[in-house]
Amino acid sequence: MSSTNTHVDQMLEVEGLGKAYRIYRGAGARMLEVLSAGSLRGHDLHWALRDLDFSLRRGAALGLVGSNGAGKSTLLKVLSGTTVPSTGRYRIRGRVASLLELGTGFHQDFSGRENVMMHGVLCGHSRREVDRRLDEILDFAELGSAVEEPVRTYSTGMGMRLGFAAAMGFDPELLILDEVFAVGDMYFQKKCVDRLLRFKSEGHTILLCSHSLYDVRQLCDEALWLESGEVRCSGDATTVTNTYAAWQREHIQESAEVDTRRPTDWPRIDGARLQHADGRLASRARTGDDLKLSIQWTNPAAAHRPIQIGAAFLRQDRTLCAAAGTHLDSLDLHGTEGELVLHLPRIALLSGTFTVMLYLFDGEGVFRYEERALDEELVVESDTKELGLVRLQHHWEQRDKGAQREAAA
Amino acid sequence: MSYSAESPSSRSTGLSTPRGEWVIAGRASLLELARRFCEWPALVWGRRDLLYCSVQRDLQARFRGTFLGFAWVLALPLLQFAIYAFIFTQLLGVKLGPGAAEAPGAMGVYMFTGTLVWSGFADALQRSTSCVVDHRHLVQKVRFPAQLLPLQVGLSSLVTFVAGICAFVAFTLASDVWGVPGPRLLMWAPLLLFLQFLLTAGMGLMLAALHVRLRDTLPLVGVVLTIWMFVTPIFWVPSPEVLPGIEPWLGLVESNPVHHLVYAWRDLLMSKEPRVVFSGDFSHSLSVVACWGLGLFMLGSWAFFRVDRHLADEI
Repeated sequence: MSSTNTHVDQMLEVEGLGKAYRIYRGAGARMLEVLSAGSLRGHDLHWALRDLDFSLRRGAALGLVGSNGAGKSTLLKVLSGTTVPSTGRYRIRGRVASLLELGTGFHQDFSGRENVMMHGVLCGHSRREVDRRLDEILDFAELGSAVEEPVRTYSTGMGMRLGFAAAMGFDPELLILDEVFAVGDMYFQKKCVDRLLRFKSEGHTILLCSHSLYDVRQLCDEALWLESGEVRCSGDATTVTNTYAAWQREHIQESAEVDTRRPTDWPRIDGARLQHADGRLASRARTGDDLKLSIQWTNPAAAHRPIQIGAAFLRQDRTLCAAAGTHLDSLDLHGTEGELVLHLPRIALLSGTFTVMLYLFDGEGVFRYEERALDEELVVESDTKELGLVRLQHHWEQRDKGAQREAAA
Repeated sequence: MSYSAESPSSRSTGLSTPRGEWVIAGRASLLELARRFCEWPALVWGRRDLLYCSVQRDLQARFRGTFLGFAWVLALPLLQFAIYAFIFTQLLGVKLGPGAAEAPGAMGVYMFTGTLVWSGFADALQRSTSCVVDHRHLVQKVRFPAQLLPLQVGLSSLVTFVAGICAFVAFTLASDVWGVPGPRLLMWAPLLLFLQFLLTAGMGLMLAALHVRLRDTLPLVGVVLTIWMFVTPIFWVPSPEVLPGIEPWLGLVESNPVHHLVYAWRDLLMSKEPRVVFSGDFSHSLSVVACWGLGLFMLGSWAFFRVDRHLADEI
């Protein structure tokens, strides 16, 4: 979204883009319109996108956020070329791959292998080229012997893996992803994220939309918040997602007020911060420091709606490093509001950048009322050159051969 | 889920267009339509692997799970011909024309060639009418030249048709029910097949475009095809000697392109029969089919190109 002097650096340019869908008033109205060659109008226009202007430079990743129906998917559809804009224009300089909805585009009665072949030639590759890449794609999807089975026997997760592998398999320069992480197991999600980070580090461009602000923050440099088809806010990913999250919280309360004429009684997290033992905010820490995470919460309907709170540390590549939860430690949260402090003496995390996630669960620790990341990431530095994720409590003991023989005897 | 090898562009021919072209809103101009029509050969050649794979998949889907598999493509017309030859020649002893000296299997061959041409044509029209809607899972997810869908349907029905001709020739080689067709067949078949393809694909493009806007098209096509089948000389001979009341209607029969298509094929496969039974001559029929084929293909392309920017929104 930077302004441009050199147009060549722009992977994607969008100018005044708008998209209207025709909503027909009925089959009869539609028939009259077709038969009268359009002189009897039988439709209304629904503008899904209006006047979008943005650009995306090569090598950057842009995340789209916004409520349902905000136009995110429509924008991705237009840019991936399955539908044309109604106003304005766009251009893309490079090979595009898009993954619009998972597992679709596959023929249910054909095997995974046959579907990847078909997908490849559909996108304009020769059979020979698809053949050359087929094994690599199927390897990545990790379907084992299931690649020879019809796709209808696949689980949603398997279909998603194959879709992702097929999209990544032909060296795209711009990747368009719609809600990719909605399904799939944790293992494969992580594999996808790793692949996407590598893709980015190779200098390629990503455009994705997700309801998971966490994904947007992790993968994207920039974000665009769409609401009712218009840009509400754009800029760097952290700022935009936090603005959006704040609006979302407010908006949910507002709409609850409108709907029920009383304040929402849903529990919420009002604030949270990670501090050093002496109270300094901890955006940087050293391995072995004492930290504390304090969380302010409100639960107006505490009597009939018990809550639990959890916190998790995730490394940049989504590896879950550690997590703690009141339900895991059998702690009850009494009252309608309070502050919860999670003391973390002598943190064992080694160098790296970590995201702190907060979860507000129901009494069973299943349903999530709220899920958010701390605004600031935690950067940990170590004094030593130790490798790995965490420092295990350890010491070395050296025994000589005699003592060893004695011990064995 | 989709992948496109080149950047999407308004010139969505599916060929490797120059990168970074603006994709603009608005309706395609007449010039644009004409340009896209001229790009047909390049498109078909550039996407030959796609056509190959989808025709293969189409045939596979039809015979998937059967023991004979692809062999059914040959076995079906072979069985059909054996049945026609047996019923009309051995059992009923029906003759093509009254009193004419003719080979004993003539009526069987007449019926067989008629139904082979007709069923290929009718099947292709019916399937290409609904092809875009049937492939909505692709059209909405993948950017590819959708105008190839009706072409692929036309091609796969052509493959079945050629298999039928081959089965017939094999039958004449193996038995003495009918004489082996002469070298004229080899000479003219490629051109005739091409024209037949233009005719089928042209109508297919037109009907597919119409069906996307108007879902009543498919059932209507079924009704029209039934009527069309009976007004085309498939099961009857268009000659006053055989059907005395046909005289005033011969002009109408003459204006039916499928009649000329069927006639041309019969002429190639039944060249031994005395001409008196058939009214017409090969080169005339060939040129009629060529005119209709080219005309309908242009019309069909125009109809399809007018709507294909909005396919994904309409289905």
